[in-house]
Amino acid sequence: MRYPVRAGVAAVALALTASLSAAAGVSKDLAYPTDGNLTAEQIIEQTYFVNHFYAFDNYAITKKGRDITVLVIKSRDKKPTTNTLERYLNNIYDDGVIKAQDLAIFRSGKLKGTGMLITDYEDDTKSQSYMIWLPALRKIRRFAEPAHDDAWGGSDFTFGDVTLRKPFHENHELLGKETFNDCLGFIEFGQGEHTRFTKNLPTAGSCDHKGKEVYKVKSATKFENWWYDERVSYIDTRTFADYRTEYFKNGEAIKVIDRDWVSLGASDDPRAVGWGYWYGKTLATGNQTWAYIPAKVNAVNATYKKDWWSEKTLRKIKR
Amino acid sequence: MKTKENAWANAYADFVLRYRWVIVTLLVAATIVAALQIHKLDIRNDPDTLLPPSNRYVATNLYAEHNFGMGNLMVFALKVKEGDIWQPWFINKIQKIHNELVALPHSREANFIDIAAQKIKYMGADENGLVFKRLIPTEGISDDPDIAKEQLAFLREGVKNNPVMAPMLVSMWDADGNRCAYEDYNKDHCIAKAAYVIADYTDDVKETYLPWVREVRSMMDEYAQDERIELLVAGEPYFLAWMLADLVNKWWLFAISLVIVIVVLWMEFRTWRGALFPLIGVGMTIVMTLGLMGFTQFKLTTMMVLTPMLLLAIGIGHSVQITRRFLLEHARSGDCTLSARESIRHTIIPATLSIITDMVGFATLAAVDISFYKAYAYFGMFGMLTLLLTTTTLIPLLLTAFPPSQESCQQMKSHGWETGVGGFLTRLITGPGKWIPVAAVILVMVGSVYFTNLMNWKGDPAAEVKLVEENDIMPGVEKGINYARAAFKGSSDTWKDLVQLNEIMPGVISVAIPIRGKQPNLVECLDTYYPDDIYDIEDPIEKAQACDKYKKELACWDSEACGPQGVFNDVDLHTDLEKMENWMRAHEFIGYTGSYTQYIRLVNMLLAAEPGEQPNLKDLTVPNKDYLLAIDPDDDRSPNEIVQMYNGLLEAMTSAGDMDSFVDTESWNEGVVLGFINTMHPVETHEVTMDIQQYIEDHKNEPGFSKVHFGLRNADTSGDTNEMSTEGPDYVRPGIGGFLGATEATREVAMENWLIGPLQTALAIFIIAALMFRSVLVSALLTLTLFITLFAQYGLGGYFTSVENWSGNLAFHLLVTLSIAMGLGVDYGIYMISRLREEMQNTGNNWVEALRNTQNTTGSAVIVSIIVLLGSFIPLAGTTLANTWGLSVYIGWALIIDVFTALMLLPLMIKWFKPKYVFQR
Repeated sequence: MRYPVRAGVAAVALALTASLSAAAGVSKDLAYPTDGNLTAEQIIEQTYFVNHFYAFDNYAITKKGRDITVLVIKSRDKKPTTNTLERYLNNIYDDGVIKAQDLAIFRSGKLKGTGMLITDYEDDTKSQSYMIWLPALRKIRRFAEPAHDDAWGGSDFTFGDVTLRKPFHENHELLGKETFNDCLGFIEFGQGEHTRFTKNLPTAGSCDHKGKEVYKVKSATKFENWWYDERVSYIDTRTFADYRTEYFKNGEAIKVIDRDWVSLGASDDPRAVGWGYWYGKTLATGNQTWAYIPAKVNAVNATYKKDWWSEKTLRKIKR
Repeated sequence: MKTKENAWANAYADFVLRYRWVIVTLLVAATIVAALQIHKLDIRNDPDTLLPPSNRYVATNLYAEHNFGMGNLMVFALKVKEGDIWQPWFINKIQKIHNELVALPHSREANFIDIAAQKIKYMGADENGLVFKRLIPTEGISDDPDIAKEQLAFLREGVKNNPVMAPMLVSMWDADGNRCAYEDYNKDHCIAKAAYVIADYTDDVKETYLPWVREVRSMMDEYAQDERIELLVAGEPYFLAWMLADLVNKWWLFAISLVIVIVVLWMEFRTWRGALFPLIGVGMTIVMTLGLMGFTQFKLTTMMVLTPMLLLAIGIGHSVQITRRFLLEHARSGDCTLSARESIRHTIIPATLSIITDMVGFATLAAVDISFYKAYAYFGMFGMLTLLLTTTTLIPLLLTAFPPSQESCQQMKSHGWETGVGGFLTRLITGPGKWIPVAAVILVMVGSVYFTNLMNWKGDPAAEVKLVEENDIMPGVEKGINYARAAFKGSSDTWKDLVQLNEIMPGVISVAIPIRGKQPNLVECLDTYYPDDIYDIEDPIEKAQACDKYKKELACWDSEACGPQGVFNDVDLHTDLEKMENWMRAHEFIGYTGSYTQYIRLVNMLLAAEPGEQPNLKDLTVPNKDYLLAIDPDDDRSPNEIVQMYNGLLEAMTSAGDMDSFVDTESWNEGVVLGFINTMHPVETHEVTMDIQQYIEDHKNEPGFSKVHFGLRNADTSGDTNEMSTEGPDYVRPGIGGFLGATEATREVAMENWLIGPLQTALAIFIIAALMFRSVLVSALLTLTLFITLFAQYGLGGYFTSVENWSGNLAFHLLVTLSIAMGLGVDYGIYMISRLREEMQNTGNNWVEALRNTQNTTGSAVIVSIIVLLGSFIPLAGTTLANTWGLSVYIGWALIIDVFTALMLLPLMIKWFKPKYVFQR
């Protein structure tokens, strides 16, 4: 009779450990897998690692001459709105409290000069903190973490898509490996729809990833009454970069997000890649979003002042 | 009118008899072809297509709907019977309703307003700073009591502390049962007793009204079973769709109507042929008319149900005349062909003439730029015209093919009741009793003078204003509309729900005031930009001048150098809009308002709060110079830059489409103020419309408003810059939209047509009757009877106005009855005069005998016709729809008076005035 009791305790301990590790998020030190037989969870953790640039100490998209990252949001049959921005991400923290800090600065449009400092904590149950410099008010305000399904910057991406969704928020299932056989999406501008920031954007989607081997992973959300039931990701078997994610609700495709990835160098880790662009389309409305990052503006493992990720930097932003 | 000798009538009778089978075959073929088109009928009940699109209010309403949506709002209100709404089951029910309404076809989720909507947020502060969070978790309120308590407290706090949205989300009441003022919504003595889900749907819903409304009703049935709550549902798409469904659901009323017709025909003719052939003929006409409606895909309303019912009634009237004539001839001669020839040649002329006058009644409606008037006109005329073939021609032809025996026709010679009624009427008219009909007519006229308040004899000051300013000589007759009561009877659940909803919500009629920047946006500079030194100019005036200079030089706008375009980036506009909304919210008949400016105020309140502080209501304002300097006299921040930044924040912090119902986020140069009107009273809706327009007039030159155009002055925006917008005789105040605009447009159209329309019809009938009878006197006598009827109808409108029965006042949809009834009503007089002349000739000008014979035959046929007509109105009057009820009441009242005057007053006048047409030997 003792054996079953011990087995029961072990099972509970195992379950507890498993749930704790699932809820603990993804370590910045997650090793590159050597075994080719990965589970869906392991693949998704690797993809999370890649999307959060844990392969780098820091990662930035800056402004080089006239080259700058452009966020284009376009409703169907309407002219697009454009914002340009810089972003500085720092992953090097060892205080056991902060996991990463991300500084975004808007460089054009109505939010020109607005800066945002986002702090992500090691404790996954703790909300991210958002500190925003509002230049017209000349004030800093703090915001609580937005909801996963809130639109990111008014775009077709949600905060969940961009940053908040963690592997443990979904149940994953590996559907197999296949060859990614498509070019990525992009916004095709009509006559008179260009702005000064869109006129030099590519006129075709990236086909660089056509023919690459990808994992096909289905991830079902654990949230109830959620905006999607499941999403299917196409993930590079070598770099773990996700090229495409298709979202489904009640069996119908509702949104697609394509990501172009470019090698950033500075590391032998195959996962040391960065975004070339994000493209998203909400199928019901036809709204599209395109965040295009010129290759020139990427900077990794650069040197910054110690207090770069601070309120002081925010207050110094020029309009 | 000499029917006996009319060569055309003889030729026609001979022709149709010769080719009888060809004609019958063609008619059957036409009916089959038409029947195949009926499925294309487009009964969409769309008020947007009812009114003239060039009307400023209609144009403004369509403009607002097209640009900002919110044109098909439906409200589900859930009222809790015990306690307050902050209970898990209640909140989860609201969330479930939200999800189900979103799942309905054609929903516009981004426009939904309720506590479960994603865009409606908790807005406050906690230890992490400002919090913008869903009010209810997507998974609903938890089953765990402790978690649920926390979630409900959060929700309650979020609703009470959202001064902009709270009145649109919940209804709060104090312990004494009084509704709390909106500014008291955050006070503890206010208890939330109801919550709403305001849902919006695209125009596509209009094409699938029936299946859509059945889904809605099924939801309503499900939720209504919960005894803890009371469910109230209202809103334009539900209303209009349910009107259609109600009509379809009451199909059995149409069956009753048909049974009545069959019974009357059977009693009249006592033969299956007499009961069946008229129905076949009229049925073919109805099928052909419905087929034409389907083929043309004309957008119809439920009120079009009048057309087939009128065709049934009028067609049966004609059928009775021709069938009776055939059977009488057959009884006399026993020869079917001869009987058919005689009946056709005797009947075709008066039938044609009466159908022409019927058509005139419809035709004059085509002159009014209202789609359903035109629909009545086109399809009414078509249907009436076909009656000549399907009744006056077809029935005798069918009777030659399926002849009755001569013996069976003998009983047709005369029914006892006919000679009884004919004899009574003759005695009445030829004796001292003749003053009874005269007195009855005088009584009706006096009543009408009383209720119409003709020329404001009552001395009412409000009526005097209408008389003087709008030349309304019958101010006692309300021409405005209470749309809801015009649609549904006061006894209907739909109306009762709406009344209750109006009590708990800010209002159930929308008003939309579109605003457009006077300065159009320039194209953005693409290749050549303004010089870099412009960035260094700090003085705002100097910078504006420089921007202006390069704008002219380069013919483009550099928003990086000179800031964003669009008047909604200008604090002056928001300042004036804030004042206007404050004025509107204080208006007796305006429940609540919303605009993009409210977002600006809200963001200002939230961002004005220092870290660690809760937002303060004093900061719920537009951050203009006065506000900034009141806090710090040395404040040099730019209010425009603050507003532009708020705009940028709102763009970034909301989902696509979230703000589209208030502002055009592409141009930032157009927006709309939305409001809820808390009255449906037609006088009050007109009053509040005038007040809003007066406010705009009084403030149009203020700093913000001087930069914008309001509404539309005509069909499009051309009125912004032409003579309509400059002071002078052609100046026109801009219209306002929303259902209030549609209501005012309806009133405006009615005011234009209520008198002139029927007078035009009367003139047309007078001319046609004069030509027909070649007698101005006969025509004048007929027209006089029509005026008696017309004035009696106005009197009826005055009566309904006096008792505030807004299903029965003379709104635009009932105005059609004046012209239609005139065209139909004159038929009886035409038949009577024609027959009197014939009988005078037959009796050697023996007036009494001629009158008796006329009353015995034509008189009784007229009585049968009116019974059939009233029977066919049963479906119109029997549903919960008020519009068809109103049509039947007005036409029924008119035709009763028409029959009365045709049978009693007209013979008297003929006797007194002795027109040659009747009395000439």
